[in-house]
Amino acid sequence: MAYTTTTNKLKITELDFDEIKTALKTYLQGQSEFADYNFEGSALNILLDVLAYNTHYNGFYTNMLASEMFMDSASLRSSVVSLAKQLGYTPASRRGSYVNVDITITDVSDNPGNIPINKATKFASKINNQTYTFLNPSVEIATKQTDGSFKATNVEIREGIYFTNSYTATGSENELFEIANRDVDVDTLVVFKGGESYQRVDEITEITSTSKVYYLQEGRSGKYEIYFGDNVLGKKAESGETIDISYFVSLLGEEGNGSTVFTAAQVIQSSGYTISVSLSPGYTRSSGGSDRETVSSIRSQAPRQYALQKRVVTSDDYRARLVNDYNLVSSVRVWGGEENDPPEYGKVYIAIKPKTGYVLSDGEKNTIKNDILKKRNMVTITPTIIDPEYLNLVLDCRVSYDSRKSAKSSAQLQTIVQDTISNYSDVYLEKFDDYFRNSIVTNQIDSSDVSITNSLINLKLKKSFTPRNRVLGTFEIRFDNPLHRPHEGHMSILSSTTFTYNKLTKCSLTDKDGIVYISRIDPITVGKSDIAQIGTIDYDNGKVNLEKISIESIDDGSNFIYVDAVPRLNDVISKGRTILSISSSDISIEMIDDTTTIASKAVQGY
Amino acid sequence: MPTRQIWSDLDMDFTAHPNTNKLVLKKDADAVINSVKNLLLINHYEKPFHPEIGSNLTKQLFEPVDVPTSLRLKQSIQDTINNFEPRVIISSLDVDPKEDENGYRIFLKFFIVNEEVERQTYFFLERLR
Repeated sequence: MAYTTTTNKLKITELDFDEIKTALKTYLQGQSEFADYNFEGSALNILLDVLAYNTHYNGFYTNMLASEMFMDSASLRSSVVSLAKQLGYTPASRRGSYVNVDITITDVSDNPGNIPINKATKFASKINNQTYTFLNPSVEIATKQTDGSFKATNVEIREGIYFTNSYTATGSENELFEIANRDVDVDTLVVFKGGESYQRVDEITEITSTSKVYYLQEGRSGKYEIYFGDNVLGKKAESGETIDISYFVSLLGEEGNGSTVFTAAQVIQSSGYTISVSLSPGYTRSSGGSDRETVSSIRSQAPRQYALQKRVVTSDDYRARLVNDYNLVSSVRVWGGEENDPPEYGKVYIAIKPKTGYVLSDGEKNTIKNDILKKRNMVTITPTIIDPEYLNLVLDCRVSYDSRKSAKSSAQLQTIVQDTISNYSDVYLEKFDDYFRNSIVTNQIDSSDVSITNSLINLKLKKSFTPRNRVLGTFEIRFDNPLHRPHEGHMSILSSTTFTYNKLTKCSLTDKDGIVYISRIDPITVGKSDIAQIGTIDYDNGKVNLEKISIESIDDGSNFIYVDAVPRLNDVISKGRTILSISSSDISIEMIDDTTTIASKAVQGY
Repeated sequence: MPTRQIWSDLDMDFTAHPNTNKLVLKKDADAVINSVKNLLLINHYEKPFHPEIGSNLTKQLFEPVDVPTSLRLKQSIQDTINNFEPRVIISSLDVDPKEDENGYRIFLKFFIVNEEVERQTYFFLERLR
């Protein structure tokens, strides 16, 4: 064949069938022997189909092969898990929600010394009107109390169903024992080999040839596999040895979190006994349940955990470890004691916003401190978990609308605006280091309905403090944002809920020129008068100090005094352990109909 | 009739020339007829990534051998050639049902573009199973 043109240069970069076939046709243009390659019925065209299909097939196969070789591009779970294994990362299994309870047994007539509570004794709790089982992962003993009852305290119970499996080892190299159930909660896995208990290890620093340890991995089928040592790093499973495993399988995973009421669902020792179950002190609900780790989570976590080397040193380490190991965490802020105000060296402060509720219970804090952090942080550093402080935003909204543009009533529009603000709070706020952006909220309100023409938000910051009745106390209220003070002698920007001070009811806090006063509106004259100077206010740093204040009672009967202040700027920032929050009760909305309101009443600054 | 060879294609039999031992080619009208036959024998979805190419005659061969089926066959053959064989202009197409032989006699007369000579081909369509 005579190849005299440039068309005989075969393009090899194409991967699609049609492009490959076009490249082959272009190549054939350089010869004169076969002229019919362009016609779909020609034999040469059919031959080109075969060639192009084969090339396309190989191209796809190679592309797939290359993709699956790298964690970033792999799509099969087995590939991602295998690559994560090289980084020493075992994907998290489904975990049952757990909580500690106190079990009290009464009506015990046969006078036993104590009452054992067997492993996997069933307790029941209702979740979404369905009854689910919680089990204790280890044997507990209820001991006799002075009142004749028997009590087991701090018994961990975990959501799930109990399973056991038995295997006989063949003694072959790298022998794997697959756990049949895909949803095994590996935290509850108990392994016996030849009648001896074996412990799970991830690190081999202290493993010897006789260590009774087993390793855990996720297999290619997606099921977990256990395997033993090779007589170098742990004892080997010899031929004929029996391996017995037991484990829980969680039915609910994350959905099991939040259970508060538990009952015994099984007889303990005697059917005549009355069993009552209550949450242990420091526990308010079941927590820690989570679903099986997803492929995308493995892809992002494995390299990070590898970089972490299972240690918590920097603030990012703490954050990553807590978010990964404790499912209840919504947002975390960590800072060293040296950055604290006042500084406390040798401590690391961790503020945690839980997914549900405002603060963690003492039991949850202890679990995090002892089970997650103590094992991995530096020896000399003491982790201190503190509750977040909530800085509430009080929104006074005036929303203007054109009633001709929508069939919705004023009340319906008001609900839409309220929902828009609540949605903004859910999406943008209630995390550490967040901003409240006034213009974003007003924009969202304006676009929430076609009839809304304008909106204006007047903002206040609200914090609370708890005075002790009739006890002199000093309080620091930190708004952490500059407060409004345009000139000397400006009117008060501070207000509070009313309280009784010095036998005078309806007292509240006000300010003027940096001084905080207790003021009172006289019920008869309705005149306002300052009763006492009680502290100072730092407008630039947003701090209010109340010194030696003794409050007799709070007028609304609550334990809190709420203090409002007007911020200098329309945007509010959360600092330190502060979380910005908008409560629906702090939103007031005035709807103004453009078509019926005269211009002087239309939305304007006030 | 021009002597210049315009169309040339492989012979699907892949037979070697008895003297030269080279692959035997189909040329000019033979190549075009060969192409038409190939098109008629290809069913839809047989060509990779191009399900539209082909005639689906096989399916029709399992219908009763009668005039309506032969009309449908004729339409399919016409559509296939018109759509995928631009070198052929059909001058007449006869599809005769042969009930006794369980098949159809196809008689195609056509012009190859830019040629004055009318050509013809004949083949018998029957199902193999």
